[in-house]
Amino acid sequence: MDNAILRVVDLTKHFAVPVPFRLSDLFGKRQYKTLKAVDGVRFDVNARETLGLVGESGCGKTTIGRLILRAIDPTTGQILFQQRPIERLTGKELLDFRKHVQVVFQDPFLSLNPRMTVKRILGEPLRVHRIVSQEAMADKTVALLELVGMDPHLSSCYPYELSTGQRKRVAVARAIATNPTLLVADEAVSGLDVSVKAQILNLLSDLQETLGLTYLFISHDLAVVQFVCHKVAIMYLGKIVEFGPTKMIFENPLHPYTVALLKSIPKVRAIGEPPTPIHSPLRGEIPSPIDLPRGCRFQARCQKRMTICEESEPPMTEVNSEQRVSCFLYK
Amino acid sequence: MQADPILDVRNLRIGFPVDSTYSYVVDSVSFAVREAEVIGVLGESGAGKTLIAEAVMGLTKSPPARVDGSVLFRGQDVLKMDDAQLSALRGKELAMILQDPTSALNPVFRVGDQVAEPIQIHLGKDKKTAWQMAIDIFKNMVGIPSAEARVKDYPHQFSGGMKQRVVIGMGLSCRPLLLIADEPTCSLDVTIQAQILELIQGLVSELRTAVLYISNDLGVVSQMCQDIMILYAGTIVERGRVEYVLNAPQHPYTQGLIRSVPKLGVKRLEPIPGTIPTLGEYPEGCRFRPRCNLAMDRCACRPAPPLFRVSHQQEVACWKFEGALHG
Repeated sequence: MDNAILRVVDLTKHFAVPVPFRLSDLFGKRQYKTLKAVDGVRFDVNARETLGLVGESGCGKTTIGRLILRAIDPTTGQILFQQRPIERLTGKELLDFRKHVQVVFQDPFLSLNPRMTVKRILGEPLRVHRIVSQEAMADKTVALLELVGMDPHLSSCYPYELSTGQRKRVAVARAIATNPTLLVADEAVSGLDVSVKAQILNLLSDLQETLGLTYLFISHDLAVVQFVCHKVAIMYLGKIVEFGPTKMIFENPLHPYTVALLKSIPKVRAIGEPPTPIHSPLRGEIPSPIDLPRGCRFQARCQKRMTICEESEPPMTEVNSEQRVSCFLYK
Repeated sequence: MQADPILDVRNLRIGFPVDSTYSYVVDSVSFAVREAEVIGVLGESGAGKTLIAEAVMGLTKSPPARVDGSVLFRGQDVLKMDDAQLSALRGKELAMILQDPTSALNPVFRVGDQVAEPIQIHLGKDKKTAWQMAIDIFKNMVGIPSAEARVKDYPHQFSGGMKQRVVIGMGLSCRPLLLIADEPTCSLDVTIQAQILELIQGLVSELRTAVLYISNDLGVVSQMCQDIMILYAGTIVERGRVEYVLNAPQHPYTQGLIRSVPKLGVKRLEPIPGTIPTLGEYPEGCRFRPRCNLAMDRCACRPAPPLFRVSHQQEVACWKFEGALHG
């Protein structure tokens, strides 16, 4: 049976970026180059599951999130939500889609209107999607705040009066107000303090349990991803380089990039373990997605580079029924 | 016999006025950093990490702040120095690397100028020599590729990781005796973080710089430091050898902090209930008491618990450990 709630098929998103201005541009058309933010991505997310999208900044993970929210349209490819392609939705259907797919952003201060009270912030999705009647609004707001573990008395506060953790809870409460099916969490716990982060992570996993939510969890924090995600997609320069269940990826990473990424996390030394000089596993920086190298995108930084890597792009190979990797080492 | 510390902070208190009295955001903090020693400061936001760093740099504005105690840098009190004395010290013997490299660099000057500036001022070199030295720092010290061309670029032409390299080059250009690193890798990706940590570690061990390393990442502190202090609401709650404090924490706060970190095989996190108190809200006695599940009556009374030595490796500020081990 097809259990996929979200299916992403060969998704690409290219942006046109103007080349730096030259005098000759005055007499001709402005020159543009193509930035391949997302370049042929496919994955499924099953109901009640959490998929983690992981990668360094600039790898295209946020662009995928925006495509799934239909904040932007793909260049090619398709996104199927509950078996229906989202690019054709209009009017009532689109409104219904927005009700089912909600988002939590990184910065709760920027994503909450500073001139609205908590009550109004939570009331807005309820009103737009006609979740409850006007009379039941106050009760529903209280119920939502209780659901995210907040004192309902705070409902007349403005965002600036709340702590970071509380603001985050309001952002989560607003997202779940419409009883969504899929929640896109874009760096939702990044930048939070350790103890607040733990509280929000517990909240997210409780809500998944009680409300049957599906999460697309976009993050660069591997420790968090390992904790919350069932499956992980590792991205590099617009492509997924490795995909599989979290446990497999973290215990037996295959792609050289995944290996390096995991090795880069500083570990807590055990008692008796002498300090060793830090050795960073990856040299150089992520190249620009504008002028991509021929062949494998990772080759310039890869320690296992072969001749074939410079010539053609490695296809996605299934190593076993669950783990896929895009590298010639496993071809 | 240990060498004299480069930095000796004694009983530092930093207070801000709240309703006609002072609320102490940093309270009775004492510690010392010696040559070639890397001391970690770990704490959540609001713990007072950055305030301590600012006090050491002589940057705390007083008034409005009230600063008591002493910050001895090679025996001289930074808190009693005038602006001229501080200027001679800062950037030369006392350097700082900030969290955000973008705001640490001036957007309208070439990066080469910004690295050459402290060399010109503190080492008295002429502009041409200073530029040459800046190129040398780029090339041999912080590893920026095509250094000759890059020194002429502006900060916006650099990536985050490269900008942080420039800032490190700026900080270490005059071979400081003490470096304060305030979460220098907080905004960077893990792979870039590893590069920057490697760089800082290599440089400070080569130059034998004393380092005060501020962070909220347990792994980073563990890799970079020998000793660590855990800060909660402006007080040191625990300190000692980094591997002991992080693997066998004794203070209820440190224990809670470590339980809050997602780890492999842990199904559910156990966060500390409540939030860290802020200015003017500090409870009497132990500042962690309202969130502590082991709190006794005594914890609510003044004075706050001092640091008790619990083993050769650890000291803990909790009444539970009173008289645990002497000497």
